[in-house]
Amino acid sequence: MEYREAKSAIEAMVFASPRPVTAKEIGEILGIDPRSAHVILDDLRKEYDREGRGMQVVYVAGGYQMATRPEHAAYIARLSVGVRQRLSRAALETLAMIAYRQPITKAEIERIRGVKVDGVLATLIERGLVRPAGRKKAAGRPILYGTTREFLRWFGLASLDDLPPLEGESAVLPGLDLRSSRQPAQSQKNTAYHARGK
Amino acid sequence: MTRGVVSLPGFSGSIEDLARAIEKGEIDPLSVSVHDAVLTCLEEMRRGRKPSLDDMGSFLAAASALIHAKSKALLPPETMSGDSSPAAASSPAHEGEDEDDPNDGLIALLMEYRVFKRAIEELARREETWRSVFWRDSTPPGPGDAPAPTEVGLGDLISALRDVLKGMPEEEFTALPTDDLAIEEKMDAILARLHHRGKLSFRELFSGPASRPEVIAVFLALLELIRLARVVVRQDSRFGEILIHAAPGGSAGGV
Repeated sequence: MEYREAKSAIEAMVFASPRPVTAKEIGEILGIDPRSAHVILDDLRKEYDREGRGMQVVYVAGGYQMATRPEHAAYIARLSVGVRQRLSRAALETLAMIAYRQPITKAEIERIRGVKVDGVLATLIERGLVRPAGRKKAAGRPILYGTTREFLRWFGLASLDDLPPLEGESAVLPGLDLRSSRQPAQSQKNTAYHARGK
Repeated sequence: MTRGVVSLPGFSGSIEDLARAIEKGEIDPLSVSVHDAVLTCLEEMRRGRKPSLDDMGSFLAAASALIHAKSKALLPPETMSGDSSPAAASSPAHEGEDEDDPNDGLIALLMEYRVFKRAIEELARREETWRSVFWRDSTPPGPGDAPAPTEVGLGDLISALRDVLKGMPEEEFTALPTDDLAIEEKMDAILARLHHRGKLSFRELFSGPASRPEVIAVFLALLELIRLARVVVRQDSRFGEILIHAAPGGSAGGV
């Protein structure tokens, strides 16, 4: 398949998809090497940037997706397109605990936050940012929570590895691993994400 | 003044006297049952004439003083030794403390919380930036996008459950499902049926189970799914059938 032709098809697919499209998917559909797909996607992204288009191609949640540029937000909002409401402080804090410590139970979140989080958790689930991710193998088999792909998009993150680093994480928390497993934090985080990435 | 007389071994007097004696250190608060003292006093007040507002006020003040003294006495000695200033008690830089300082856990949690602080600020900044970006699908999930108001309340569900149970043979004893796993299985089963069919009526939901405990397990599973926002329960008309739908985007865990 010719480069121009492939790029055109890829642009159409990225435009039509309501979720981030991966280079792997595109490679499979067009019958080209995923690495080539990746290069073309990246070219496309740069092209949109260079030409100062109103749209941009964003690498988010492990794939590519079309979005508007932030500077046009005020105009778009006047079209009565729903503008996302900011999360409350409590919701943001709870969401951060879940993002960094997932999979995590409600009781564990409450231990760190020091307050009940039922209401906040329900809001986060309703907004599609958090979802139940199995049950902990402990007494009462409490529900474990993790973040969703929408969470990544909400903050413009390519993956969970893209989360802002925690300050002095390993220095401060040697004895306070809230999770059941004895795996080091980094690898467990990755496992949790890949397990979800279906 | 309150007429209530508190009688304890080695002490007899009003509750105010008791609070005063404890304050002066004449009586060890640990030897006093605040519960009993307050109860006796209340009982006496109830028996006498209607207490005046002043009486009630002094009673409340004395009882609070007692509770305060008692709670202070119950705290571990480490926090008692200094003064009761909270800054001294929670300062992580308290050198020379023994390792089993009861504040250690608290400090660790505070540190854990502090570790998140900066990340939370950063996430808030990112949220602000990306809030101005509209995605191709352009519909931010939020309360406004939730399907038509879920008019079906817990009361409606319970009365519907009653109808289902009415049609079942009476059993002398009904053992409630106690096993979480059983409910989890039912949850999976409901989700599988919804995946297949899109929606289920309340009656259809109970077309399988043959025994009361099983019906109740299915019902509990339904409640759990509602709580987890995996399903949405709606009623098409005021007295229409209750319908269970898969929550939009809920089970896929995606966008």
